[in-house]
Amino acid sequence: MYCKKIHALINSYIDGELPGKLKEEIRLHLESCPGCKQLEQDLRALVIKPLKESSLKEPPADLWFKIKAAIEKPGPLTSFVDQIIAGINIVFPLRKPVLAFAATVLITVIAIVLAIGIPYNSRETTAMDLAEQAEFIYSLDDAASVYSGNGFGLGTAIEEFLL
Amino acid sequence: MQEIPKDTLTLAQQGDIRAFEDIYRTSSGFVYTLALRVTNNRQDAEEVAQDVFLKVYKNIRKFRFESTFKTWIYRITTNTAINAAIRRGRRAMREIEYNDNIQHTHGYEPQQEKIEKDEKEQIIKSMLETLNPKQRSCLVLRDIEGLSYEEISRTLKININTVRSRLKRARESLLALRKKGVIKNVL
Repeated sequence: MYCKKIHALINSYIDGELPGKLKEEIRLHLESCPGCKQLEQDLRALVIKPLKESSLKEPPADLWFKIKAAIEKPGPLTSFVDQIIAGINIVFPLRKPVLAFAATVLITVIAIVLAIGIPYNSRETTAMDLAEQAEFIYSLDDAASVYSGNGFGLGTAIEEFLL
Repeated sequence: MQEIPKDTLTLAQQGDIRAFEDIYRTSSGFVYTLALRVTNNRQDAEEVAQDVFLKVYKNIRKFRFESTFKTWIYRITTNTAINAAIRRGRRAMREIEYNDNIQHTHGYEPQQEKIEKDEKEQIIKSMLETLNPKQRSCLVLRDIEGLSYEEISRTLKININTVRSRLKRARESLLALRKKGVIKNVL
Protein backbone atom coordinates (compact mmCIF):
# COMPACT_ATOMS: atom_id res chain seq x y z
CA MET A 1 0.00 0.00 0.00
CA TYR A 2 1.33 3.44 -0.95
CA CYS A 3 2.05 6.04 1.74
CA LYS A 4 -0.27 8.47 -0.06
CA LYS A 5 -3.18 6.09 0.45
CA ILE A 6 -2.20 5.68 4.10
CA HIS A 7 -2.25 9.48 4.54
CA ALA A 8 -5.78 9.57 3.14
CA LEU A 9 -7.00 6.86 5.52
CA ILE A 10 -4.93 7.48 8.64
CA ASN A 11 -7.61 9.53 10.45
CA SER A 12 -10.29 6.90 9.89
CA TYR A 13 -7.77 4.29 11.05
CA ILE A 14 -7.04 6.18 14.26
CA ASP A 15 -10.75 6.66 14.90
CA GLY A 16 -11.47 2.94 14.38
CA GLU A 17 -13.74 3.74 11.44
CA LEU A 18 -12.28 1.29 8.90
CA PRO A 19 -13.38 -2.26 8.09
CA GLY A 20 -11.23 -5.04 9.56
CA LYS A 21 -9.25 -6.01 6.43
CA LEU A 22 -8.27 -2.46 5.55
CA LYS A 23 -7.44 -1.71 9.15
CA GLU A 24 -5.09 -4.70 9.23
CA GLU A 25 -3.41 -3.61 5.97
CA ILE A 26 -2.73 -0.18 7.43
CA ARG A 27 -1.46 -1.61 10.70
CA LEU A 28 1.04 -3.77 8.80
CA HIS A 29 2.15 -0.79 6.71
CA LEU A 30 2.69 1.35 9.80
CA GLU A 31 4.94 -1.33 11.28
CA SER A 32 7.22 -1.18 8.26
CA CYS A 33 7.09 2.55 7.34
CA PRO A 34 8.72 4.99 9.80
CA GLY A 35 7.34 8.06 7.97
CA CYS A 36 3.72 6.95 8.20
CA LYS A 37 4.23 5.73 11.78
CA GLN A 38 5.53 9.18 12.70
CA LEU A 39 2.48 10.81 11.11
CA GLU A 40 0.18 8.57 13.14
CA GLN A 41 2.01 9.34 16.38
CA ASP A 42 2.03 13.09 15.69
CA LEU A 43 -1.68 13.16 14.95
CA ARG A 44 -2.45 11.26 18.13
CA ALA A 45 -0.13 13.28 20.37
CA LEU A 46 -0.38 16.80 18.98
CA VAL A 47 -3.96 17.02 17.74
CA ILE A 48 -6.23 14.32 19.12
CA LYS A 49 -4.86 13.92 22.66
CA PRO A 50 -5.25 17.57 23.77
CA LEU A 51 -8.83 17.64 22.55
CA LYS A 52 -9.73 14.28 24.08
CA GLU A 53 -8.22 15.30 27.41
CA SER A 54 -10.08 18.59 27.60
CA SER A 55 -12.57 18.53 30.41
CA LEU A 56 -16.29 18.98 30.24
CA LYS A 57 -17.24 22.59 30.95
CA GLU A 58 -20.18 23.39 33.14
CA PRO A 59 -22.34 26.38 32.23
CA PRO A 60 -22.62 29.28 34.70
CA ALA A 61 -24.74 28.36 37.71
CA ASP A 62 -27.40 30.98 36.97
CA LEU A 63 -28.06 29.77 33.43
CA TRP A 64 -30.92 27.47 34.47
CA PHE A 65 -32.67 30.34 36.28
CA LYS A 66 -32.38 32.54 33.19
CA ILE A 67 -33.88 29.77 31.05
CA LYS A 68 -36.65 29.09 33.57
CA ALA A 69 -37.49 32.79 33.78
CA ALA A 70 -37.65 33.02 29.98
CA ILE A 71 -39.96 29.98 29.87
CA GLU A 72 -42.29 31.18 32.61
CA LYS A 73 -42.52 34.81 31.52
CA PRO A 74 -42.95 34.98 27.77
CA GLY A 75 -43.54 38.39 26.21
CA PRO A 76 -47.21 39.47 25.74
CA LEU A 77 -47.01 39.23 21.95
CA THR A 78 -45.34 35.83 22.04
CA SER A 79 -47.92 34.62 24.52
CA PHE A 80 -50.81 35.87 22.37
CA VAL A 81 -49.39 34.35 19.18
CA ASP A 82 -48.65 31.09 21.00
CA GLN A 83 -52.24 30.97 22.28
CA ILE A 84 -53.59 31.45 18.76
CA ILE A 85 -51.28 28.77 17.37
CA ALA A 86 -52.19 26.41 20.23
CA GLY A 87 -55.88 27.03 19.54
CA ILE A 88 -55.42 26.36 15.84
CA ASN A 89 -53.52 23.17 16.63
CA ILE A 90 -56.36 21.94 18.83
CA VAL A 91 -58.95 22.55 16.08
CA PHE A 92 -56.70 21.31 13.27
CA PRO A 93 -54.23 18.78 14.63
CA LEU A 94 -52.04 19.03 11.53
CA ARG A 95 -48.31 18.43 11.76
CA LYS A 96 -47.47 21.53 9.72
CA PRO A 97 -48.58 24.80 11.32
CA VAL A 98 -48.70 26.44 7.88
CA LEU A 99 -51.40 24.01 6.77
CA ALA A 100 -53.38 24.56 9.95
CA PHE A 101 -53.11 28.32 9.49
CA ALA A 102 -54.16 28.09 5.81
CA ALA A 103 -57.15 25.94 6.75
CA THR A 104 -58.16 28.48 9.40
CA VAL A 105 -57.91 31.39 6.97
CA LEU A 106 -59.94 29.52 4.34
CA ILE A 107 -62.70 28.63 6.77
CA THR A 108 -62.78 32.20 8.13
CA VAL A 109 -63.18 33.64 4.59
CA ILE A 110 -65.99 31.18 3.81
CA ALA A 111 -67.73 32.04 7.09
CA ILE A 112 -67.51 35.79 6.39
CA VAL A 113 -68.86 35.34 2.87
CA LEU A 114 -71.77 33.25 4.11
CA ALA A 115 -72.54 35.70 6.91
CA ILE A 116 -72.58 38.94 4.91
CA GLY A 117 -73.35 37.51 1.49
CA ILE A 118 -71.44 37.90 -1.78
CA PRO A 119 -71.28 41.58 -2.87
CA TYR A 120 -73.70 42.62 -5.70
CA ASN A 121 -75.89 39.61 -5.17
CA SER A 122 -79.04 41.40 -4.07
CA ARG A 123 -81.65 42.81 -6.49
CA GLU A 124 -81.65 46.19 -4.74
CA THR A 125 -77.91 46.60 -5.12
CA THR A 126 -78.02 45.63 -8.80
CA ALA A 127 -80.88 48.07 -9.51
CA MET A 128 -79.01 50.88 -7.76
CA ASP A 129 -75.89 50.18 -9.76
CA LEU A 130 -77.80 50.18 -13.04
CA ALA A 131 -79.43 53.51 -12.16
CA GLU A 132 -76.07 55.06 -11.30
CA GLN A 133 -74.53 53.81 -14.54
CA ALA A 134 -77.46 55.12 -16.59
CA GLU A 135 -77.14 58.51 -14.90
CA PHE A 136 -73.45 58.60 -15.69
CA ILE A 137 -74.00 57.75 -19.38
CA TYR A 138 -76.70 60.35 -19.56
CA SER A 139 -74.35 62.99 -18.16
CA LEU A 140 -71.78 62.06 -20.80
CA ASP A 141 -74.37 62.47 -23.48
CA ASP A 142 -75.24 65.89 -22.06
CA ALA A 143 -71.63 66.96 -22.09
CA ALA A 144 -71.18 65.80 -25.67
CA SER A 145 -74.26 67.78 -26.73
CA VAL A 146 -72.99 70.89 -24.96
CA TYR A 147 -69.58 70.70 -26.63
CA SER A 148 -71.01 70.12 -30.10
CA GLY A 149 -73.70 72.83 -29.62
CA ASN A 150 -71.10 75.48 -28.75
CA GLY A 151 -68.89 74.80 -31.69
CA PHE A 152 -66.51 72.47 -29.88
CA GLY A 153 -67.03 69.74 -32.45
CA LEU A 154 -64.20 68.71 -34.71
CA GLY A 155 -66.41 68.35 -37.77
CA THR A 156 -65.67 64.68 -38.35
CA ALA A 157 -68.04 62.30 -40.12
CA ILE A 158 -68.46 60.13 -37.05
CA GLU A 159 -69.34 63.21 -35.01
CA GLU A 160 -71.95 64.21 -37.50
CA PHE A 161 -73.34 60.69 -37.53
CA LEU A 162 -73.59 60.47 -33.72
CA LEU A 163 -74.75 63.99 -32.97
CA MET B 1 -23.72 12.30 27.07
CA GLN B 2 -26.04 9.70 28.55
CA GLU B 3 -29.42 9.24 26.95
CA ILE B 4 -32.42 10.82 28.67
CA PRO B 5 -35.04 8.24 29.80
CA LYS B 6 -38.13 8.15 27.60
CA ASP B 7 -40.41 8.76 30.61
CA THR B 8 -38.63 12.03 31.37
CA LEU B 9 -38.94 13.15 27.76
CA THR B 10 -42.64 12.24 27.68
CA LEU B 11 -43.28 14.23 30.87
CA ALA B 12 -41.37 17.20 29.43
CA GLN B 13 -43.48 16.94 26.28
CA GLN B 14 -46.56 17.31 28.51
CA GLY B 15 -45.12 20.55 29.91
CA ASP B 16 -43.65 19.18 33.16
CA ILE B 17 -41.02 21.77 34.13
CA ARG B 18 -39.30 19.39 36.59
CA ALA B 19 -38.78 16.84 33.83
CA PHE B 20 -37.38 19.61 31.66
CA GLU B 21 -35.04 20.59 34.49
CA ASP B 22 -33.82 16.95 34.62
CA ILE B 23 -33.09 17.15 30.92
CA TYR B 24 -31.21 20.39 31.51
CA ARG B 25 -29.15 18.94 34.40
CA THR B 26 -28.18 15.89 32.34
CA SER B 27 -27.31 17.64 29.11
CA SER B 28 -26.29 21.22 29.97
CA GLY B 29 -22.59 20.39 30.41
CA PHE B 30 -22.43 18.73 27.00
CA VAL B 31 -24.44 21.45 25.31
CA TYR B 32 -22.33 24.20 26.89
CA THR B 33 -19.01 22.47 26.09
CA LEU B 34 -20.04 21.91 22.48
CA ALA B 35 -21.23 25.51 22.18
CA LEU B 36 -18.03 26.80 23.81
CA ARG B 37 -15.76 24.80 21.53
CA VAL B 38 -17.63 25.68 18.34
CA THR B 39 -17.99 29.40 19.13
CA ASN B 40 -14.64 29.52 20.98
CA ASN B 41 -16.12 32.30 23.09
CA ARG B 42 -17.58 32.04 26.59
CA GLN B 43 -20.21 34.75 26.23
CA ASP B 44 -21.45 33.34 22.91
CA ALA B 45 -21.48 29.84 24.39
CA GLU B 46 -23.71 30.94 27.24
CA GLU B 47 -26.12 32.65 24.85
CA VAL B 48 -26.12 29.60 22.57
CA ALA B 49 -26.80 27.24 25.48
CA GLN B 50 -29.70 29.38 26.66
CA ASP B 51 -31.07 29.59 23.14
CA VAL B 52 -30.73 25.81 22.68
CA PHE B 53 -32.71 24.97 25.82
CA LEU B 54 -35.44 27.45 24.93
CA LYS B 55 -35.67 25.86 21.46
CA VAL B 56 -35.77 22.40 23.04
CA TYR B 57 -38.54 23.49 25.44
CA LYS B 58 -40.57 25.05 22.63
CA ASN B 59 -40.16 22.12 20.25
CA ILE B 60 -40.00 19.10 22.51
CA ARG B 61 -43.62 18.23 21.68
CA LYS B 62 -42.48 17.79 18.07
CA PHE B 63 -39.75 15.31 19.07
CA ARG B 64 -41.06 11.95 17.84
CA PHE B 65 -38.29 9.61 18.97
CA GLU B 66 -37.28 9.00 15.34
CA SER B 67 -33.69 9.85 16.27
CA THR B 68 -32.08 9.74 19.70
CA PHE B 69 -32.59 12.79 21.92
CA LYS B 70 -28.79 13.11 22.07
CA THR B 71 -28.57 13.47 18.27
CA TRP B 72 -31.47 15.93 18.29
CA ILE B 73 -30.03 18.24 20.97
CA TYR B 74 -26.51 18.04 19.48
CA ARG B 75 -27.98 19.05 16.12
CA ILE B 76 -29.77 22.05 17.60
CA THR B 77 -26.63 23.03 19.51
CA THR B 78 -24.29 22.67 16.55
CA ASN B 79 -26.53 24.65 14.21
CA THR B 80 -27.08 27.41 16.77
CA ALA B 81 -23.37 27.55 17.63
CA ILE B 82 -22.23 27.58 13.99
CA ASN B 83 -24.60 30.48 13.29
CA ALA B 84 -23.31 32.35 16.33
CA ALA B 85 -19.70 31.71 15.28
CA ILE B 86 -20.40 32.93 11.74
CA ARG B 87 -22.09 36.07 13.09
CA ARG B 88 -19.14 36.73 15.36
CA GLY B 89 -16.73 36.10 12.50
CA ARG B 90 -18.59 38.67 10.41
CA ARG B 91 -18.39 41.21 13.19
CA ALA B 92 -14.71 40.31 13.52
CA MET B 93 -14.87 40.91 17.23
CA ARG B 94 -12.57 38.94 19.39
CA GLU B 95 -12.29 41.17 22.37
CA ILE B 96 -14.19 38.92 24.73
CA GLU B 97 -11.92 36.19 25.94
CA TYR B 98 -12.99 33.35 28.10
CA ASN B 99 -11.18 32.05 31.09
CA ASP B 100 -12.97 29.09 32.50
CA ASN B 101 -10.50 28.64 35.27
CA ILE B 102 -11.54 31.95 36.74
CA GLN B 103 -15.23 31.53 36.00
CA HIS B 104 -15.93 27.92 36.84
CA THR B 105 -13.28 26.58 39.16
CA HIS B 106 -14.67 25.63 42.50
CA GLY B 107 -12.57 25.04 45.57
CA TYR B 108 -8.81 24.81 46.06
CA GLU B 109 -6.58 23.96 43.15
CA PRO B 110 -2.78 23.67 43.44
CA GLN B 111 -0.96 26.48 41.61
CA GLN B 112 1.15 24.22 39.34
CA GLU B 113 -1.90 22.19 38.34
CA LYS B 114 -3.78 25.37 37.56
CA ILE B 115 -0.97 26.70 35.34
CA GLU B 116 -0.87 23.45 33.37
CA LYS B 117 -4.63 23.49 33.00
CA ASP B 118 -4.52 27.09 31.76
CA GLU B 119 -1.85 26.21 29.21
CA LYS B 120 -3.79 23.22 27.92
CA GLU B 121 -6.92 25.30 27.69
CA GLN B 122 -5.07 27.98 25.76
CA ILE B 123 -3.71 25.41 23.31
CA ILE B 124 -7.19 24.03 22.62
CA LYS B 125 -8.57 27.52 22.13
CA SER B 126 -5.73 28.44 19.74
CA MET B 127 -6.15 25.20 17.82
CA LEU B 128 -9.88 25.64 17.34
CA GLU B 129 -9.47 29.28 16.39
CA THR B 130 -7.60 28.29 13.23
CA LEU B 131 -10.52 26.21 11.92
CA ASN B 132 -13.79 27.29 10.36
CA PRO B 133 -16.98 26.62 12.39
CA LYS B 134 -18.00 23.58 10.32
CA GLN B 135 -14.61 21.87 10.70
CA ARG B 136 -14.63 22.83 14.37
CA SER B 137 -18.01 21.24 14.99
CA CYS B 138 -16.92 17.98 13.31
CA LEU B 139 -13.71 17.85 15.32
CA VAL B 140 -15.42 18.69 18.60
CA LEU B 141 -18.17 16.11 18.07
CA ARG B 142 -15.53 13.48 17.34
CA ASP B 143 -12.64 14.23 19.69
CA ILE B 144 -14.36 15.94 22.60
CA GLU B 145 -17.90 14.54 22.59
CA GLY B 146 -16.73 11.13 21.28
CA LEU B 147 -19.37 10.60 18.57
CA SER B 148 -18.83 8.05 15.81
CA TYR B 149 -18.66 9.18 12.16
CA GLU B 150 -22.18 7.83 11.66
CA GLU B 151 -23.50 9.83 14.64
CA ILE B 152 -21.74 12.99 13.41
CA SER B 153 -23.22 12.45 9.97
CA ARG B 154 -26.74 12.19 11.45
CA THR B 155 -26.21 15.12 13.81
CA LEU B 156 -24.92 17.50 11.16
CA LYS B 157 -27.08 16.00 8.40
CA ILE B 158 -24.07 15.60 6.13
CA ASN B 159 -22.67 12.66 4.18
CA ILE B 160 -20.32 10.38 6.12
CA ASN B 161 -17.59 11.04 3.54
CA THR B 162 -17.95 14.76 4.25
CA VAL B 163 -17.35 13.93 7.91
CA ARG B 164 -14.19 12.02 6.92
CA SER B 165 -12.87 14.82 4.73
CA ARG B 166 -13.64 17.59 7.23
CA LEU B 167 -11.87 15.70 10.01
CA LYS B 168 -8.91 14.91 7.75
CA ARG B 169 -8.49 18.52 6.66
CA ALA B 170 -8.97 19.91 10.15
CA ARG B 171 -6.44 17.56 11.72
CA GLU B 172 -3.88 17.98 8.93
CA SER B 173 -4.14 21.73 9.22
CA LEU B 174 -3.76 21.61 13.02
CA LEU B 175 -0.81 19.23 12.79
CA ALA B 176 0.96 21.49 10.30
CA LEU B 177 0.46 24.51 12.57
CA ARG B 178 1.64 22.68 15.66
CA LYS B 179 4.74 21.40 13.88
CA LYS B 180 5.56 24.92 12.73
CA GLY B 181 5.18 26.03 16.32
CA VAL B 182 2.34 28.41 15.48
CA ILE B 183 0.40 26.67 18.22
CA LYS B 184 2.54 26.16 21.28
CA ASN B 185 3.74 22.59 21.95
CA VAL B 186 3.76 22.00 25.65
CA LEU B 187 2.09 18.64 25.96
